[in-house]
Amino acid sequence: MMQRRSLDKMERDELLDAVRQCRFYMTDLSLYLDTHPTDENALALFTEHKAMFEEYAAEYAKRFGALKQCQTGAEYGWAAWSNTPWPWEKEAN
Amino acid sequence: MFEYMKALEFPVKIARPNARTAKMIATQLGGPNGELGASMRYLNQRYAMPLREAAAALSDIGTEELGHMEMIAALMTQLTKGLTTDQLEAQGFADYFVDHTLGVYPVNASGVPFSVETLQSLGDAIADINEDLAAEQKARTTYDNILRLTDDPDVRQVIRFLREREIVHYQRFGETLRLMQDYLARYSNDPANPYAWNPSFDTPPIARKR
Repeated sequence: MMQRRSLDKMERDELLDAVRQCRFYMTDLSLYLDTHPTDENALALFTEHKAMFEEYAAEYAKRFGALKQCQTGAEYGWAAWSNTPWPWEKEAN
Repeated sequence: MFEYMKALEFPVKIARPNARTAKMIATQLGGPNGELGASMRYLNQRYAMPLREAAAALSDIGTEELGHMEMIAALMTQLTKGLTTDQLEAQGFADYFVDHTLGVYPVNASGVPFSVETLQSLGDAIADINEDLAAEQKARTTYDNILRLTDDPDVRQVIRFLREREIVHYQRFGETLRLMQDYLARYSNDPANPYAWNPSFDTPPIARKR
């Protein structure tokens, strides 16, 4: 399980890694839960990482640009979605 | 619908471009065991699944494969970025370059464009899930072959991640097949011969008998 860290002290790379790791936990657990839907331990882990993912992703969007369209809007400007590095660029990783 | 997230599932950061490696890795975008075929196979097969759990596995694994397609494209893009035409030619990339420049196009390692004939969607859950199990092993073998041919640690860590995911998907499809087999056994007249009907199309034999 991932340890919680103080969000405002995290650099961009560190925050993106945390977002990615939480999202990966969710992906891997979701596949497991599809064939083991009654495993309460796995479901609890999914729920825990989903909460962390949402927190990290919201902090990332606020400081470095939206990761999903539902994270952007008038308060950020559209360029926070369209003109931040795209995932295949080296500088995005 | 699908919702895009603007981050790779696993980071791709290539320090040393190498067009020869890019050409080899291209097969996991456009080749017979690649990620484009995998995502299209699972996402098209799911509509004919008689069990919602099987539809869930195909939807979620198919969605993850779309993300893997993007990781392969990121590898191809970064492995060819900034090279001169002399370097591209010396690294065996002239034939790809003349048709596509540095654009990402789904071809196999020999340059043959992606063929939908590399996948099936039969509308028979048992046949389709068995194909999916084979597809995961074929993808794992292809990643093993790529690992045998490249030394670059930046490339290897990405390929190792993708290889691991094929193993996990194989495991999940194995469980999906077992769920389907339980379903067949529940609805077949003859438990010794439960595979004699198409669970995606036929009325279950046990219901017909009643």
